[in-house]
Amino acid sequence: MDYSQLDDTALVTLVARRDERALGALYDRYSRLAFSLAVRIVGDRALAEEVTADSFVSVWRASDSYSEERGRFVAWLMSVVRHRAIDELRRLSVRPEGSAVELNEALLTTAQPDGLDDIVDVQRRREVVRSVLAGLPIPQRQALELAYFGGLTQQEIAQKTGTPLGTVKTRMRLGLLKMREELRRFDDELH
Amino acid sequence: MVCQTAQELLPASVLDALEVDEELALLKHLQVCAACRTEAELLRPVANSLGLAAGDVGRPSPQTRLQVMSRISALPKPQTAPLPQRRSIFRPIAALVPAAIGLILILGLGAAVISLQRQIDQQQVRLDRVTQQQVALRQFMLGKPLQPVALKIDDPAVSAVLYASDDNVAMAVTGLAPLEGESVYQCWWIDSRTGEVKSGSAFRVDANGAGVWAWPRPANQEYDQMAVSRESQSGKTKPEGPVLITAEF
Ligand SMILES: [Zn+2]
Repeated sequence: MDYSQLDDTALVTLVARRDERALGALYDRYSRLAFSLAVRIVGDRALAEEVTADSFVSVWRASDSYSEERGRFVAWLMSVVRHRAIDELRRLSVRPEGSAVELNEALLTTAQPDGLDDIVDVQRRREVVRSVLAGLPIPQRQALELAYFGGLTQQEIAQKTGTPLGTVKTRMRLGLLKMREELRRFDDELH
Repeated sequence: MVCQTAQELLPASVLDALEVDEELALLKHLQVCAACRTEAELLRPVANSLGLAAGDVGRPSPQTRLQVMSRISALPKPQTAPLPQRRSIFRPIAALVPAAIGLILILGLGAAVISLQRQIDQQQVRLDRVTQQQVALRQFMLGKPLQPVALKIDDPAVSAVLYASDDNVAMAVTGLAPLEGESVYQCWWIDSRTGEVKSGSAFRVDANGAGVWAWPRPANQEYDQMAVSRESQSGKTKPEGPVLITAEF
């Protein structure tokens, strides 16, 4: 069986049946994405490699709790990576100054060699998310990024940015709803 | 909580950015409101997709892949049969105790949630509530060293997980019997060496006998156990009703 030809759902199903090569295929497909997110959150490549490894081991252990109704595999993986990375951030009490607010404008490279729909979809979705974020008013974008990449609560964001709590709440809500609108438009165009 | 308030909290909730009290209040609303649950499920993938905005930094080193593959090969193959109902929560948690604290957080809660899911499946309760419980627990515990606490539960219909940090405990339960009249579930802090018992918080459960709570651990008091009993009313000084859950610290 050529694992690189299987879609994500088929691979996760195999992983739930303890097929190690299926996990390897998911790793090959998404480790770069997972690693990029981990680096963005913890700000350190060595630590981010640990987070990435732990996350794929978690996927292995928890694969039977994943179902397609819970969303795309990649979204699930990203949430595993994010939680693991934020745990690490909190454990070390190290918040790389500015890392959560800085937008990395480096050009996207083609992350994966595979030509599968899942990958193409992730690449396109990635571009959409980045362009939507870049199009948000800066305070809204900052509120979303401090929560998502910095693991901060609204109250912590208010303190860190010297903004009234109510304003932070409004910004976060407007920003996320705008993202939903744009992603929905993207999905409609796709299907 | 009314739907409008809940909907205002949801974006921050799916970003794990609410304070604990807000998250727990929202959770209570979601337990009874299908419309807001649906809204939460629509918003969660939007929040998750933010991870795609991280700039590409290339691949992790080849050693990372080797490490993953050797770690999963070394893991025991889990049994494929469903876990038995009785104390099914223990085994995955007990297996994780030696793991690093950070791993416990993600794997321990993962294992606990899987067990809870199995239990709840059997009770035909919607799964999304468990996800909400996980979020609330995580929100509460993030950043604090925590340990899963072994529980003794005699009723096979009851599942619970308990996590303790230095200052607090957080518990998620499902399958407790519904309460009637003024009756409550009551926590007790017990020193088994002296037999001294002090009452803790009292709580009620939803229609499925489920809920998630967090309490401060008592200061200035010796105890090595926490127990939950069902009492005909709150304010008792000693447990009189049946003891349903016992935790050993
Ligand atoms: Zn509602």
